[in-house]
Amino acid sequence: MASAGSGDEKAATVTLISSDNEHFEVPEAVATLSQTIRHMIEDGCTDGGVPLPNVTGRILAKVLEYCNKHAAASDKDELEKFDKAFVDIDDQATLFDLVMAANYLDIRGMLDLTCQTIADMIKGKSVEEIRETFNIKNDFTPEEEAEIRRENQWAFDD
Amino acid sequence: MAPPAKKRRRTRKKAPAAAVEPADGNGLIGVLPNEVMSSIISLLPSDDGVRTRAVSSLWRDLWLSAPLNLDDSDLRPWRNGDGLVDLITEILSTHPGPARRLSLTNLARVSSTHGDDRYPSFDGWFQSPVLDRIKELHFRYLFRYLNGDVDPLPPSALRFTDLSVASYGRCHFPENLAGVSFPNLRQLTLFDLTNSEATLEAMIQACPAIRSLLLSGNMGFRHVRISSPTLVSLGVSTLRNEAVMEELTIVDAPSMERLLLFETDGGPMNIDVQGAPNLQVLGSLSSSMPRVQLGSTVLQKMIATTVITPMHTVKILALNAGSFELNTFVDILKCFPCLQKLYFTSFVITDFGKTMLNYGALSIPCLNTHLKEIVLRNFRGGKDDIKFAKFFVLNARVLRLMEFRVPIRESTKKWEANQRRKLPKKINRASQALRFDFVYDDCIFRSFEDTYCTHELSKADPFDSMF
Repeated sequence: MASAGSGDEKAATVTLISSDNEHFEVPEAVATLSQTIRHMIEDGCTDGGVPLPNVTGRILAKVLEYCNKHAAASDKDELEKFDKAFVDIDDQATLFDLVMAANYLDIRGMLDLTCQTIADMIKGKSVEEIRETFNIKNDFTPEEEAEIRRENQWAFDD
Repeated sequence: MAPPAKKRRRTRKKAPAAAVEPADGNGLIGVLPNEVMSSIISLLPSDDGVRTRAVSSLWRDLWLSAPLNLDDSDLRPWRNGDGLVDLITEILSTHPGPARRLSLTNLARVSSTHGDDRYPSFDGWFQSPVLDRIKELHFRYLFRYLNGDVDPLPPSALRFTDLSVASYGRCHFPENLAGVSFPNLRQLTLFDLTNSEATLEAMIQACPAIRSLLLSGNMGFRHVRISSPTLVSLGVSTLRNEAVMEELTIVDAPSMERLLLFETDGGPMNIDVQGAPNLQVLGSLSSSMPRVQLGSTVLQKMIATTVITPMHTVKILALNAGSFELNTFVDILKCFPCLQKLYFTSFVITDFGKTMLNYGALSIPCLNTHLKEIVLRNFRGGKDDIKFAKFFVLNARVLRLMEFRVPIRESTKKWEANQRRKLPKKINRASQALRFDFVYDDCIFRSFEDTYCTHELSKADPFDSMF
């Protein structure tokens, strides 16, 4: 429940509700790392909690881990270390869930971080390797694929 | 319980379903919305980005819709220059845009195979509408002819008003910069330009939001005057053995927190800091600098010739000298009563037969209350080195850390133990225990060289990461 007034001893909080009905009470200063939530707070729509129907409790917990750290820490090296560990994930599904959550909740730093992580997974790989990494089926006909390679030959000279 | 009846609602993107491995052959990554995929592709080097087009039909058009990052270093730099020119022309004519970043650093102005002047190509590229909204630009000719000719920068390279980060090098700016405006430029690097300092001053004027400025090896910038309401960090570096900036005056820089002088060993440089009321990091100053003026305090070869008016904001200071000789630096240390960290580099050239000042008689304000860390670079354990270190150990009352950077190939435990033995042990001090750290490298510690630190504003101590 968002509270107002400058005389409060307790900092204002907001309740976030995941798709599987987990409730997270979060200080506003942390939650507003999400521009989406910040707008909702500004619009006064947060009484009774903010439902986030597309973010599971498990993912939301991770998102809040990021927000907590970035709202509190100011040491750049410390944050760098944290970010590196944060995206050191074996499980692609979790990584993509985090990208989508960051996109939906509009958390700039987390979106940049997760996008860069995925870009790093693509960098330096051949087309075949990219397909294998992400389990993508090649749906080109041989002619189509040859044409793309020919049009952009300089990038395919290996 | 129901939310209040405020109809105003910001439009949000439709949230996609949580990632579940789909059966459509696009993999988990296929559920990412296009705008996210575009961002990811846009982060890739140009060759990787283009290659993604062949992954699947879903990916084929992503590169075209992703903001273009065109970096000629990614375009197989071993390709001969003429091929690279053709390729850049092709990309800029086929990509629908918009581009977010352009980096051209691998092309000489004149083709070595045909002798063609590539200026028209550069000019054509800069005028491409694909580039209209770029936020980042890095440009330099691959090398500069040293025969006195200048390599002109196409004026079209200065038209990008969305730029946030830019570097220009090895070229000659147009003399007339009227109409040039970079309202969003925060980070600017100018290196190896052949213009005079008038160009620098016009560029600063054109950047009302500039935060960090790095000037490196600009031989025509001789008498530089800096005024900017927003500039936080200024870095100056000169090319070794070339003529240096004769005079650097900070006229009016209320936001300036860092004045970083790299590689100024090439010759004399006079510094005048008039209007930097928030300066926190200063250095390196050298004992060879004929004149340093800080406010109304004038120091000639580091000896004060006027009354010392202290600068209370400076917290970090870097000094260079021929040896660890405190005489030289008493006055300048008195200028900074709130100094917390001191880097002192000794470039031993000759062994002076100096008159030893009675160190005990010195009274330096920052030692009483603020100086917490000292880094001694090129410490060799000689008599003067030890005497210098001892002075601070005994007199810097809140000193916590003294770091010795030793240019010795092989450190032995014995050598280090020997040094530690020579340093005072039990001292009455106000603060917690004083720690000595020894760090070794097998070559001499040079001037601070990492000029890019000028732009890393979040680092409180830019010298910390420079060895």
